Amino acid sequence: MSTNSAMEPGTSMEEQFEVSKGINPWIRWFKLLLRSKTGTTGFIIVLTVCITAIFAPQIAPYDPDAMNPANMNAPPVWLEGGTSAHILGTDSLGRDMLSRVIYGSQVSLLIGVFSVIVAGSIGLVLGILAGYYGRWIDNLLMRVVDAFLAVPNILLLLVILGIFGSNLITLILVLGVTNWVIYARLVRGEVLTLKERDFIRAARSIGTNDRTIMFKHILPNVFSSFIVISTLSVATTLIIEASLSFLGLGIQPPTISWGYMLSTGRDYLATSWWLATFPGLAITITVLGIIFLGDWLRDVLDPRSQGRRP
Amino acid sequence: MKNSIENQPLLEIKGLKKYFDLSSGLFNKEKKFLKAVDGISLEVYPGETLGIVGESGCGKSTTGNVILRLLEATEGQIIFDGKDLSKLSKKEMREKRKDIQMIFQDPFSSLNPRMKVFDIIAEPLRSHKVAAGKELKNRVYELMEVVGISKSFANRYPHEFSGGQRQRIGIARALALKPKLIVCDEPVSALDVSIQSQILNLLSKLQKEFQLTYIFIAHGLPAIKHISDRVAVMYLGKIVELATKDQLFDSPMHPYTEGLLSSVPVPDPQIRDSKERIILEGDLPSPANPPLGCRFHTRCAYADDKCKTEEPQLVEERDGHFVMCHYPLLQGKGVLVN
Amino acid sequence: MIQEQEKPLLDVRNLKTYFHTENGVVPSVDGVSFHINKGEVIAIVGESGCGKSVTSYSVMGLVGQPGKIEGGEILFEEKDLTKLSNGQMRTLRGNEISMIFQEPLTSLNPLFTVGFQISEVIMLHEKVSKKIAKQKTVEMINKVGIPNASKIYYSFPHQLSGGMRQRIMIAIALACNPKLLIADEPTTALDVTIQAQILQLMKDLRQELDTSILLITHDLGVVAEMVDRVIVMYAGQVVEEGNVFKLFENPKHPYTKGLMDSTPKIHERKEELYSIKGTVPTPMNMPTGCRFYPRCEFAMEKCKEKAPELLEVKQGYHVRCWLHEEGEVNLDEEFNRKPATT
Repeated sequence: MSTNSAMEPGTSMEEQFEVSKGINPWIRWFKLLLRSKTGTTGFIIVLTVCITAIFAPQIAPYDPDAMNPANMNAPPVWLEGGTSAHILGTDSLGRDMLSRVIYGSQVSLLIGVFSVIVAGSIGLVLGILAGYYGRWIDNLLMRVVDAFLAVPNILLLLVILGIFGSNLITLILVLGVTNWVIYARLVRGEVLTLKERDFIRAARSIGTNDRTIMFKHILPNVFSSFIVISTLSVATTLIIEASLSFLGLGIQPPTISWGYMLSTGRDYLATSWWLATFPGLAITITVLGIIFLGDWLRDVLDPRSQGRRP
Repeated sequence: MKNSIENQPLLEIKGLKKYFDLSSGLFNKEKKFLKAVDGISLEVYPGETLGIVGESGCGKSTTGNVILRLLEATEGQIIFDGKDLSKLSKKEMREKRKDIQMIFQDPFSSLNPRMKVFDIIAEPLRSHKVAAGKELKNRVYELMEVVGISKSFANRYPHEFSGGQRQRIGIARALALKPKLIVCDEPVSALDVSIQSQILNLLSKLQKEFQLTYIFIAHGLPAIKHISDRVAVMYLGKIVELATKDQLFDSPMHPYTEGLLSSVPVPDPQIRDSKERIILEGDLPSPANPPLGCRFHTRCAYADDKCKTEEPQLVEERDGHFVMCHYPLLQGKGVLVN
Repeated sequence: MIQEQEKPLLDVRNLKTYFHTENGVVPSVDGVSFHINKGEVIAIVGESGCGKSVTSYSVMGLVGQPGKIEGGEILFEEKDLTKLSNGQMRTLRGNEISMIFQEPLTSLNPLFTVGFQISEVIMLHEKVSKKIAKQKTVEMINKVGIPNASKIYYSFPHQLSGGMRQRIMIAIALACNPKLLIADEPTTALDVTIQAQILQLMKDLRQELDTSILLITHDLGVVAEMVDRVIVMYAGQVVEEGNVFKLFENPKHPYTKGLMDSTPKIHERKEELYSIKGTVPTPMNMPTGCRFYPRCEFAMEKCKEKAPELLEVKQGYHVRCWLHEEGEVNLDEEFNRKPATT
């Protein structure tokens, strides 16, 4: 009796399990989300922005490029001279601001999400390799990372974009290639501590091969911090894109991004402040939403809050 | 089981050393080593349990890790089943790992938190492609039953289990490949008292059932005494005494062992005042800078000038009772056995 | 040995400390009562999660969020500690009640010398000059058995070994001559030869200073070495309380007995260890009736239905178990009467 007794009735792990059993994981996630105010706020903002981007043609009241010389620099509806036809007013060429902000979300999100995917994949792979194998691979990689960190990011961007010109694809690639070092460093650090954990030693003692250890044991365990950094990084990328547009190296017309709108709007700040303010607000709110969501993700994915995990 | 001493050893360690390089910096010419294991030799016979006991920094866990080649030995031979493990290629070693498994101390860190119990136990079987499909499933369920975990928990994650149950999962994983030797690295020290005895009994039961050989590494003397047939006492990287359990606990010959036995608090208040305590003075020296001569002389009540300068060798003083001391105790104070 | 008539130094009555977690309320300490007399050494024994540490934190007023003392009284020299303000508690802590912890490295500030950390406590509570505080500190370091005190005064925690650090912790705790010392697993992190030194030191100091000690531990060996009276806790409640000699000779609660029988003993030879079946219940699935009955060899129908109270089976000896309802029962005899189940 002494050995087979861990599951004797009364210890009732069964009952404990019943709670977590049978519930759709998505519903559990959703319930967890509703428990956190910041999480919910972030989620709603991000969801709204995504829907706006996807259904921009359906939502936008006008063609964003349709000019109307008769109605240039019209103020928003609640100011004197504003019309309900253009709720957020029009720009210097008479284009509808609301439609432009809606369409701008497409490019801004594309750049934000995809450049993070590019940077993240490079960083994840190299970080795991460096952390797991150590020795010369680690040394080499970390020196490269140091080199990247020693050059100001914006300078690097300027040079590359200056040479290759600036379109959506190059912008995504360039932002990805310049940002991977953050991920590589983070992932490497995590792997170094994970490597010392007993379950990695256990896997080695069983005779599991390196590839399996990296994929099945290490990757899932670095993923939560990786996801968190990624969400925050989407936010920074939006801001970098805006500053590149400011320097004239961002998205080129006729493509619209929030950053581009912001940089063109600055010339009219004194007379038509709304031209820069609305895209700026859009960036700020989106970034806030993503940061909230990232914060919440960090809390839920933290292994220390295991009990709360779905 | 006890007369297995006549047999060929299953594992033979000869002159094993493991040094960690402590010197750092590009321009630091002077090499400094932490001699975690500093030349130990021992034999483990089929079916027996060899206990390795010692305090922190004595090198007992390092020894376990080196045997499994989780750490590479600096010097020495590890002969398992007639083959020197330290000379095997990575691939050959992977094959050999089927025969040597390990149970870890911390049941909270030795299981991947993101893998289900089923996958944890199935991993060794999958890695070595021993079983697949239905056979794999049956084998895993069988293992779960052997260690006393209901198979209805196969789809749970480790954090849903208590420490003792996690340790059972770790044991099931170690048993999966039907090994000959299991290195148990402090398997019960992280567990509660009432759970410790469950696990110790389980280990004993499994040993009989599957003819296992154990190396049982622990700092707790009562657990070592309970489970071992022979015991090696380590101090600062050396084996200072090696004997059968009865020899060691009844009449220890090394002053360190004597002090160690005496310092274990006995759960019986009746003898607390009558017991003549030998309390070892001073601290454990750092293994990075061990004393010259006999390593124990700084804390030894019997030490003289010879001990300070000349290092003793491990000598067989009595039949099967080895001790590393210039003046082995002929009437060492053991613990009362009743 | 102890004058039972005297007012106890610490009297804990029906203490309830609950933790309000996201998964519900966890009653870590659920109606615990005990007392410590002047100069007495008692131990609270139990396994992880039994509430022994939370009890000691409650006495110190150190229960952090989301924990809260929900009921009961903690009378220290007849003052109720649960009613004191934070400020009043602060002047009491370190002065009249002090505490040592399991892990001395994390309890010492790595950035200050140990001498500074000891003299800081002395200066804070005794309002003496720096010079006198230093003098006292060196004295204290000597007293806890560290040679070369004036040199150790200037050492940082990381330069000392684990045993030395625990000695320093004891020096800090005893610097102001507290009336009560709470030691939470003080030797668990130490090697066994060092543990023996620290236990010896605590015994010597207790003789010298006449401090009452509340020892929190899971190690029955340490209990048997040190204490006068034992309190055994299980699942947030006291299940047995009494004189150490009586308790070890003849435990009255099946849990205490199980705990003793399942501890491997260095002076005994046994083929198989006894083991208590099952695991400690979690607060979420606490059994109704007696909290131990699902794991109990002696469980009766009644145990399932009704929770037993703490009964006084003889002068100063309490057990929470229905077996002793109609007078004291010897568990060994009772056990032999039943068909053996192991």
